[in-house]
Amino acid sequence: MQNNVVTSKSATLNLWQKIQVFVKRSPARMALILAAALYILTIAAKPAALNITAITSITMLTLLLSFASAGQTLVLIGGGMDFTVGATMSASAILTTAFMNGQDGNFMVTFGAVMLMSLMIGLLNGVCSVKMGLPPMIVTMAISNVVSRLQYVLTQGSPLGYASPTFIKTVTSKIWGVIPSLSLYALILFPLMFYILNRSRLGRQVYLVGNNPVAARLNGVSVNKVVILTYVISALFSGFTGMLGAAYMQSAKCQMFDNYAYESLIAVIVGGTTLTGGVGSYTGSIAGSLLMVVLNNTLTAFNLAQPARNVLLGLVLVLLLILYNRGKSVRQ
Amino acid sequence: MKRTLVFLVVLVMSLGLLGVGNAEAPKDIRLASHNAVIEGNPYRVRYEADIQEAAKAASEYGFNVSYASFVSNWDAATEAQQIQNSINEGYDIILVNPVAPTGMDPIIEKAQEAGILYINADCIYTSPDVNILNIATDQYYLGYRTATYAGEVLGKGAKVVMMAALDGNSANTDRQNGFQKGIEEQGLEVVATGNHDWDAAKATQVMTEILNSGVEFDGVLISQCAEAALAAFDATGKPYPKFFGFNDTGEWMQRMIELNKDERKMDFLVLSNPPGVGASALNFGLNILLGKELRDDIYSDPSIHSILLESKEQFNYDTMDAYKEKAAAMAPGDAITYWLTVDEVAEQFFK
Amino acid sequence: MKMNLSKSFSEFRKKPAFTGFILFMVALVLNAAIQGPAKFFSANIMKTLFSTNMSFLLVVMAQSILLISGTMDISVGVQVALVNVVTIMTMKTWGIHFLLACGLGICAALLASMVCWLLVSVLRLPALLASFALTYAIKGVNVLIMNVPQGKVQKVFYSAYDSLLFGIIPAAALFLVLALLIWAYVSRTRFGTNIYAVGANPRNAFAAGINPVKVQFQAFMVKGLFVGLAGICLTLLTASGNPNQAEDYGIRSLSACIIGGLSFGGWGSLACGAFGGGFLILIQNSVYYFFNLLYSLIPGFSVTSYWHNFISDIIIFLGLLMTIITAKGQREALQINLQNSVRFRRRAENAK
Repeated sequence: MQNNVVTSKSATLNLWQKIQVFVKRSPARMALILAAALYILTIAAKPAALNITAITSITMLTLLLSFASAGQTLVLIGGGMDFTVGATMSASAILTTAFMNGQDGNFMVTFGAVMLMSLMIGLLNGVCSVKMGLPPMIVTMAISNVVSRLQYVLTQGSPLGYASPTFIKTVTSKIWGVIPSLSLYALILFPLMFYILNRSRLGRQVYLVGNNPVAARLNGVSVNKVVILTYVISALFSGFTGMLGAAYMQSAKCQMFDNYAYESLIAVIVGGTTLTGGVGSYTGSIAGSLLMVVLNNTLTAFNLAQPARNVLLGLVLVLLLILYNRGKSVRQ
Repeated sequence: MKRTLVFLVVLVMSLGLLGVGNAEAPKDIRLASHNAVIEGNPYRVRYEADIQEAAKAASEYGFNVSYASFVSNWDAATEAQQIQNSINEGYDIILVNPVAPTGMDPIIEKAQEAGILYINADCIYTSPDVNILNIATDQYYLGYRTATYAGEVLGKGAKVVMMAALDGNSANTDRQNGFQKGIEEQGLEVVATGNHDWDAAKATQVMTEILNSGVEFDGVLISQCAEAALAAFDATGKPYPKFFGFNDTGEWMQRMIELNKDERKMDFLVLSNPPGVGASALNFGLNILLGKELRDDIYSDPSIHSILLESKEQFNYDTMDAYKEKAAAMAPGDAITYWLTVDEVAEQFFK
Repeated sequence: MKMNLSKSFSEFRKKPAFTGFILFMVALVLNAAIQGPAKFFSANIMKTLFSTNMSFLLVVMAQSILLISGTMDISVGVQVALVNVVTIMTMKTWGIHFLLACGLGICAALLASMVCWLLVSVLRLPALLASFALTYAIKGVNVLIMNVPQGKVQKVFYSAYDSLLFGIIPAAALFLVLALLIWAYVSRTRFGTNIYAVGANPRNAFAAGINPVKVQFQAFMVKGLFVGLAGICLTLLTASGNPNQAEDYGIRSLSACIIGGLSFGGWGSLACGAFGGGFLILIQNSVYYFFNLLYSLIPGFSVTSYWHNFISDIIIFLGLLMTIITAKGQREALQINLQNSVRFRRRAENAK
């Protein structure tokens, strides 16, 4: 009799534990499931929300966000945080439209200028975070402020020019009418990021440094160099994403992509990377980006007034954080 | 002989005194223009530029107006601090385009106690407990006219999207009241709403989301930023609606004229919301400094002393030929602007 | 005498507030130089400085309490707006007395702080992102409580706030004194030492018998009180309600604390926050007057507002860089001290 009671109790526990394990085992998979669930919910409530334009739009925004989150993933795994993602994107978008000026043929010059600017921002981020002993969050935030202000000073608030027509076509035209050609860029950027994270020596070192910097240093890893490299790579990715963003929007405005700083951070966290470092994957960040874009789409489709939308957004973010990012209790 | 000499001396002296009294020694006026935002907002950029022009033009009336500009970036606390600083600095005129329609009573009282001329321009300040001039363009008319014209071209029962600007801003509130009245009278049905907060990037984003939701509509009623919302149609490749309005920038005018040059592709409305309203407000202030008195019958709302200036320029598909040259000459980000000169203000509003 | 002076100076150098103090003095001197000492230190200017900036200063001090205890809350800005709208709307809807409405406003701040504590301490979510999510929620609540800016405060209250006592002391400074008194009392209790232990290393603190969750709750409550006071200052400054304001106080208070020499957990004091906040305020003020000076010196000089913001942000960035000169070494020294003291206390308790 007692045995029966014990068995049934452990059976219930096992189910709850099973769910917990399923959720925690693969954050990327969980994010995809949540995104799908949200979209199905939207379509069920508003059938008109299932249309080609919406799907194309969601794909475009997810791709842009996942490109921006690539660098952020690397930095977070290494134990830092990059708040300049948004400011770098905006600045590179302005640089792109200014250099291209609506004409073809200036792509290489523009690319070079954007990469140079991103390199400088990345170096500044990296050196300040490593040498200053200040929390990277504060340092990168201050730098992003300066970069934003610089945009206004240099353009006097009215950026000029448009991205070149060919470049715009490579970003916004649609294959078979549905898939945006931006996904062709994903064929280059995704494998690149996967290689850096999973196959290269730098990737291994980043995981080590994020997990335990002291142990990494004792193992002969140059911690400072690795961390600075993560910030530089992040800035380069953000810079290129800014170029693509400029093609998507065709013209640029100051601080246009600033919200990508927080969005990329949340996408990466929701995808399973932790703020403490040493853990994470790029698949998770891509899934997290999809979830964020679908979430925004859902909130709009339900045509909520702005305040209700804000409250709901806050609640959902908290729920997502509860799922993945609870710290360890002091009792453990 | 002596008496003649004394008489001559007195004559010369009195003539000299008269001359001094009549001499056009330019009066130095220090002007502080406080704005909620300038960066990235073409309307506000032009607003400030027009005030500077009007300040220069004031030299014809014997004023040497120096101009200083302060921006609070939509933060009410920063705005309060900056105006307090200007009061302490002893500016002669403080011209404010406020962040919010309330919340400045204490500061206004301080300014007036210090003898400073405090004028509120563009976004109406709604507190009835202070006595200041409120100079604004008739925003209610802008909304009402757009909705009415949309009803005329689309017909009764047509479906529209309503994109407002910034909630809580008094110019937006008045404009939306006008939109609502026009929508009711014309029998239009609003199927989707949004706010763009006068931010072009947000206008494109919100319009894209509305397009994504799959809702069907015939026209778009929008409180400026029309070309940014139109860009959403371009990006998604969706066909244009039957009506889009209003806005008043060079880019909007050029695009609409270009789009409709061969045939009537899409009905539109260009309505001017002149950034020069700030310059007009300055000229009200200069008239007051010249000692003139305001008439009693000029206020649209006497409790808050608001004076609404009419929107002088507008055109649509039927009347666009007259504006083709003007549109081509404008910079894309610039808006149609004009203001009342010191004389025009004196004629229309002062005794 | 000379040796005493140099000894007390070197002791002061070790204190956490030293960095912030230096930066604050630099900003003070800069301001006085641009405006002219006689004018800058005049009662009127001081009164304006205090009354317009008191709410931000209180928020910075609230944030420093959280930083010391090892967390943060970037939704403090919208919480200030929450206090403002609650105060005004309760007065408007129920016609209660202003002081009672202020009390309700403080309760709203305490409630919001408790929610943040639940997320950050109990559920152990990362403080940055959890409070960021909370910002959205509170922003929405603010607009739901008050949809358009409105409301009024009686003249007797707001003119009292903006007055001078005995002709030289700004009335707004009383709020600062009140906050310092509250902190002086609270830090003398057990809580005062516990907060440092919990902030530095919650695990060690727990092993030493201190409950981190409870201590952080107390920290959040004191912070909520300060935020409530900040909200009242803002209400008295504008004499009306506005749901969309003060949002950037959150991030700016964090920068101010770091500039003042605070770090994430276990180090620093309220004075750090006060000096850091003072630095930011004075820099903003000095940029205003600096350009004012240029307007008057160079006829026809007009530069766009873009430069104002650019210059202030550069100065803030430089201020951050400055903190490394003194703060880093101090922090490490204190961390070792703190760990030793907790270990010592545990040994002492075990020996009993």
